[in-house]
Amino acid sequence: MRLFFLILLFLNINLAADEYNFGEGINIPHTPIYVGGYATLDYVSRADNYNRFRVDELSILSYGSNDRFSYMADFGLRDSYIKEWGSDDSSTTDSTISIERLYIDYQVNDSIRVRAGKFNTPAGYWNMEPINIFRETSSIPYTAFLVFPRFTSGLEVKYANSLYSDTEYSVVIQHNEDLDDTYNNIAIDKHYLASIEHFFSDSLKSKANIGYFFSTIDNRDYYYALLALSYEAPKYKIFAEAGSRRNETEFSVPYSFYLQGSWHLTQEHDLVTRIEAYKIDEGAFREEVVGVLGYTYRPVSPFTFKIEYRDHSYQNENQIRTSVSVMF
Amino acid sequence: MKHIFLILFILFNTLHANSFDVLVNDSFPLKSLSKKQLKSIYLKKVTYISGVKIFAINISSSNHLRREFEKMVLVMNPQNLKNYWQKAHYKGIRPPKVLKSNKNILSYLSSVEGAIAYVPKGIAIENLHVLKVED
Repeated sequence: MRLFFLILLFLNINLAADEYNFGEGINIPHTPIYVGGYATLDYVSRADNYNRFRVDELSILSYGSNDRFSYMADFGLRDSYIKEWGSDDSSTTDSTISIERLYIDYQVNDSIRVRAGKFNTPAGYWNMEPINIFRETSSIPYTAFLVFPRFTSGLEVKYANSLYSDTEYSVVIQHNEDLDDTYNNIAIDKHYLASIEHFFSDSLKSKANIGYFFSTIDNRDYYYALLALSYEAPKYKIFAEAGSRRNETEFSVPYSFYLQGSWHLTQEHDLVTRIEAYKIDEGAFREEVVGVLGYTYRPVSPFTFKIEYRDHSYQNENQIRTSVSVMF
Repeated sequence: MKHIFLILFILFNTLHANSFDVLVNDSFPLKSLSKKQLKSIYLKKVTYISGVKIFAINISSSNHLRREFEKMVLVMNPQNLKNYWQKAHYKGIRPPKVLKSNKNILSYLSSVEGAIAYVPKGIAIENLHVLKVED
């Protein structure tokens, strides 16, 4: 695995067939293969005097297509270096290379695409472009990791024909262990998901998901539902997601939602606000409201600097987060 | 007064008329497209039509025709488009192929099944035809 990662890194640095657009990967000459990657560093300073610096993401991705087949391989280091200050100072390194995504797509006809492997669970909008460089904030809304498993290792069948229809459908089936559960927020070995997405206009779209998974952490069945909405205007963007998760007898996440607005002050400067609320059963129920005020600076296109203040109901968790991220 | 309205009308239509034609060869499965459908093709949301793989072609980003096409059909500014293709890169989707000259584009259109491209208005080439683009 490490050898493959190093080969991809070497190819990324040394070979380029076409003109290279920073942030859009490069082509390996005389092949339909592209390579690229992304990296993120972040820093958190919490009200309870806990501080952390982290090399969050360092990933190499490769993809290509040939006729109706295409593939995606995304391998990386996550939390490869962490330095913490607080009640106990510590630093850790982790050089384990894990599979972030690894799948093959087959385009059956004009409208149906089958995907097999490990991929981002197609629930909501946040989880479709979850890496730091594309996010409006360094932090992730609770809804994006409390309600459903972020990765699925299985099959996805998607129906989409944007030539004639504004609605897309997707079904996901996992009936096996995760291909690599390192990155998954919930370890699972069964996952079923149905998704419907409607494009009301170029600006407005909405998605509804219902799903089931079996958690190998507590060996329980869970059912979830998620609604997502995205509205994008030239000067601002609004994102909202709301979901709920339950087991056979009771709600384990009775509700979790967020509403986020981001304003493009100029081409380089964005202002972001988000309000989040959730309730989760952790033995006793924990309820929280979180307010986020953030700023993003994009001096050149595939590079971002972000800073945000998070105001939590639990005041010890109030924090400032900052990150730099790049895509290549 | 009548002449002034006529001049203004002609001027308005000149300013709002496309200065490009969308060309395809006989293999292209459709005879006309809406702007929305053309946008879906150029954003790679549509890759097959009636079983034919579609190859959308762009001219170099410095060419004024490309900027006009992106403004009128994609309705996206260069920065938004760049952001779109960076997200597409993460998903394993590439932007349309770029060819440097109209001559190269016409040659590609003549030889590749499913190819589609925009060229300066009025270029007439045997075996290629103008696709009707409706609003």
